[in-house]
Amino acid sequence: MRPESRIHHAVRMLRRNLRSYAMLSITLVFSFSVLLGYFLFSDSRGYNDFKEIFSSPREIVMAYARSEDPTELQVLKQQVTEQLPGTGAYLYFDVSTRLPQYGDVLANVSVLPNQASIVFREVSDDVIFENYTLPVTVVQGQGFPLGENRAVINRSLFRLLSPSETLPFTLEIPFQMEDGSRILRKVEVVGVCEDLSEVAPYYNSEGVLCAQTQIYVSQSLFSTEELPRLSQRKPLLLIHSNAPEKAAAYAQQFDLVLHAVCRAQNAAIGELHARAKSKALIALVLHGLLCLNLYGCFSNALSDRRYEIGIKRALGAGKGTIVGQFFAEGIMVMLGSILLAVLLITGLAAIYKLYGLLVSGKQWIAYLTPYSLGMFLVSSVGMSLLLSLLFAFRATGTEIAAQLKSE
Amino acid sequence: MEALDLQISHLSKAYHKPVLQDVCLALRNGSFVSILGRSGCGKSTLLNILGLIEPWDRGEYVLNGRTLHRREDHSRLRQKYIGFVFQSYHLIPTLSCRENILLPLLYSRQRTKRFEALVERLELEPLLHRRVPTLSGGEKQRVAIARALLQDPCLILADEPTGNLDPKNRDVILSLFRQEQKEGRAIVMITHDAEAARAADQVLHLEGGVLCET
Ligand SMILES: Nc1ncnc2c1ncn2[C@@H]1O[C@H](COP(=O)(O)OP(=O)(O)OP(=O)(O)O)[C@@H](O)[C@H]1O
Ligand SMILES: [Mg+2]
Repeated sequence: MRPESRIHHAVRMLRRNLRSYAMLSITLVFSFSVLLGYFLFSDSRGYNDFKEIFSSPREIVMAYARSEDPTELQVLKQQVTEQLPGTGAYLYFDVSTRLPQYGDVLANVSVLPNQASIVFREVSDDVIFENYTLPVTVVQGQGFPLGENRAVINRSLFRLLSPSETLPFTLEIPFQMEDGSRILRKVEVVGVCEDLSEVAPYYNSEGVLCAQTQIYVSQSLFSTEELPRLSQRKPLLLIHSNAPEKAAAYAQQFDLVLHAVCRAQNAAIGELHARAKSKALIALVLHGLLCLNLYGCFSNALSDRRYEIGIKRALGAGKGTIVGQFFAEGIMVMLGSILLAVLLITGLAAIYKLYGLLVSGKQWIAYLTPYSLGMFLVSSVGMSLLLSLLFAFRATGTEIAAQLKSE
Repeated sequence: MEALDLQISHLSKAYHKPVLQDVCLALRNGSFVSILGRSGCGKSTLLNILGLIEPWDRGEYVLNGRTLHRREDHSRLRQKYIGFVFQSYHLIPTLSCRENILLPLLYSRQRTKRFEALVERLELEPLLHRRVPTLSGGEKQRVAIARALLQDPCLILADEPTGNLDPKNRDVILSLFRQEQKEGRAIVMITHDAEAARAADQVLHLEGGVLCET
């Protein structure tokens, strides 16, 4: 008759004590799930709060004049393009008008520099109270740069104009001049871009149809004399720089409204660092509680096995052998529990994601930083090793006769 | 077969009250000693000390010329020299009979040829795959005896090995022990049964913490 291998024996004992290990495992799975869940959900929160900020192009700085006067913006444009290598800037402005062709609907017209290749929208964020920008996406037809007498409109406006119109079509836009006169320009609408915000069209108290309507045209629509005479211009300078912090610092010397992606990103990084500190503290407390909890559970599981340990030692099992057996059992249970916890949390995250998608239509992205993942793995495996060893060593602590009498 | 020369002298042990006072005993290959005594006089305690699973308070324990320290872990010696039949069997309840009998192999890492012979002699075949809690007292006792003898220990310590057995099975055990003795093993048997005690060469009484001949 051959002796069975010790690891085989540990597996056998694990199977025979499945019921008591199942009880222990529930606590273990719960503990590890709390830990992993905390890491996953706090990391995901950070990621989802700031994902748009971090996907915004860092090179972009936008400055608005507080009045119709573009002089300050012009000075700023000259300064940054001359003094910061690798910097481009273009000045444009917004005016609003009504389209008589379509029931006098209000429309916002962005008059872009000739050959402007891209337009940015600003998105305000509740968390860091600073605006950041994203490129505007063209969803149908042609996009930027705009040719002469061409226009891109947004989806809301297009919805108002269709079904009577299909791309391309001609649009007549009246422009109000400072002296009260009006000039009429015909443009060909070649593309439709996404809305900058989601507001359904409505009629205001005066019965005017309002919507988030947007038309992009090129400055070449106007002569150099006409351009400064347009009424109610809101001038805007878009800077694209390899040194955005410096460009923002220049802009700050003027009395302008400033939106710099780099600053928003720096603020977000600061916020994440601040959160990381409190996260580390909470993780520490969690670890402490888990350790205590697990220690208690292992002690319980062990006291059920004192009799068995006594018998084995009486039959000649050395302390090392007993330590080995209980360590092997402990490790198997712990690793199994870690695996179950990972499955459980993955499942929960998937349900949460689906719930968000179905109920609020928001795309929640599960995200775990390598740092958190490392911390979870190191601490859970570390705790497993430590507690299993402690478990095993305590198994040999008492006298054999006392263990035998513990039945 | 290992050579055995075991001597304990002036051994004492107390819990809240003294149990063993001044116990002396010598065992060699082929010794067969039975110990009688009233309940609670310390027989099992003495056997536990002989079997190195309980420390003694004072006195000397010399095994093959080596004086043993009273508090050391003597697992190697237990595994090498001693086969224990416990008064309350001490079988692991979560294991089958077969697994219980074979347990000592796990710690000696040696093969044995004795398993089948013991199973036949003690009529254990129908019990092998049963769980311990379903066995009767006598069945547990036979399983415990098979486990103690599996590895050919040179010292067999048996605490009332026939206590729960019918006369037929008792005789099987006693003749088994005598055969073991002939092969050179030393046996210490605790019993309340004077007739069983007579199977031994030497019958001792434990009284007032001291061993004395009748
Ligand atoms: N761990 C212990 N703590 C306190 N007292 C103990 C302990 N173990 C045994 N005793 C006491 O020591 C005395 C001797 O016990 P022991 O088990 O050796 O008796 P015994 O002679 O084997 O009795 P029995 O014939 O009933 O089995 C008893 O009075 C018992 O109550
Ligand atoms: Mg007893």
